[in-house]
Amino acid sequence: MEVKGLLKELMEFPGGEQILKCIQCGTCTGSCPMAYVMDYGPRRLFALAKGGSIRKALMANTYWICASCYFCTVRCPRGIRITDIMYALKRLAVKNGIFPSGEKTPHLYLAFKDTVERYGRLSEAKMMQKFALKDPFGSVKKGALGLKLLMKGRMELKVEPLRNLEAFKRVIDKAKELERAS
Amino acid sequence: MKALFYPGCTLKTSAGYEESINAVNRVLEVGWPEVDDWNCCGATAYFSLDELVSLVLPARNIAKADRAEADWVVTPCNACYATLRKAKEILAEELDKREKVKIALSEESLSYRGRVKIKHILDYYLLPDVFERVKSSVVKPLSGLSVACYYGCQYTRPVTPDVDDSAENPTKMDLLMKALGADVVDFTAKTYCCGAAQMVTHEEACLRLVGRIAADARNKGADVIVTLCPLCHFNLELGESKLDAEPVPVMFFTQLMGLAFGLSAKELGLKKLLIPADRALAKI
Repeated sequence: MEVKGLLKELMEFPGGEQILKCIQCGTCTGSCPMAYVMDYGPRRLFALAKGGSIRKALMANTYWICASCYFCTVRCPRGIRITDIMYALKRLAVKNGIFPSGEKTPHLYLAFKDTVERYGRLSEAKMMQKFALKDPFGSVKKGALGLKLLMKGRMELKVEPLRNLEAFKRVIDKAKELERAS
Repeated sequence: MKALFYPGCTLKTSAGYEESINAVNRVLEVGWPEVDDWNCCGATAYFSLDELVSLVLPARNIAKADRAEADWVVTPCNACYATLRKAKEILAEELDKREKVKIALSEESLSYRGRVKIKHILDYYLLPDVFERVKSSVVKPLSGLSVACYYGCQYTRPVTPDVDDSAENPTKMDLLMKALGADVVDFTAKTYCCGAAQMVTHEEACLRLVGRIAADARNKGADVIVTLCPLCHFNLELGESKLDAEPVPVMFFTQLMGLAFGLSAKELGLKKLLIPADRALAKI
């Protein structure tokens, strides 16, 4: 049931139905700067999704590694907004609690989101502190860089939240409520 | 035309971008008040997690600029620029989402119309009357200096109505640098990806991307790589510092404008660079 259910959900995302137009030409993968570290390039990922193996597609790291350079999107001869499909796959995976093993990008994004929802703005220092819980080893290595940036005046430890943070939070909460209702 | 400034969250911690923008604006006698109580644009993280919030975040900033009767929002960051204009495009096309965004914004008595144009700060300096002033402010031409203009991805991609340069071969920064007297190298990697946020989670992969960009600049004889985005700048500097090859200094385009306008290294925040540019700049 799940396979069909997930594919149907992907189709319902804006642009999700566009994968049906894919002609498997491979322009996307050929244009992708990150394809060489992906489990599958975008072309193979779409073949899997179209073929019904959407769960297998979601278990791949491909869509999390997409860096949003949009080369595939501007070059796709079928006009498919491929980057947006990658976003749709990310949302679908998070919503269904599917996380490719060892892939840290979703945790970085969740740390980003947490920081923005708390202060209204991003603080790199706060985000990296939060992310460190998910990546302790990597974060120790990054500590030296943080110190160097601090000494160069390129790191702010204090966060200046929005003046009207309460109103901002009301707007975000309303958006979440509307998203849940749809 | 009334313009407001949307600095984005990372301008403050960038290596002299904010200082140099303020310094060249003083020379050019231009400037824009900030969008009132602006919030994070959401960047790629929110598009990946929560679609409606990813639209509400940029829309709130646009609505605030609209309420202040601005025609333009000027931003110095590629990611902010892409996020704001992308949200605008989605909200123009998908009316059901636009309705929901409006309902959410009404919590703060804001309304979204999508009337405001989003402008990258580079495009602002290239406006005909401003560009004339740029040219007449050059007192110390950058002759002798070869530069590689690095635009990154999101200055022109995705292509939306507010974009004003070629998706894969933009030339506006080239034009600006030539006007400052610099030699502009033919830079194949000008819109190659730096890896963006993946530098945190997939550093090895991104170092290869940075290595390719830096190698192209070096092979073409560039003394400096010039950028227009805080994240591109950070990734190139950090990446080059970790690679074996001789690093090519990376500077913001506004720092080179400032030098051509006769401003000091201190005013332009040059000491914040991780890769010192002194030797390259001695060629001027």
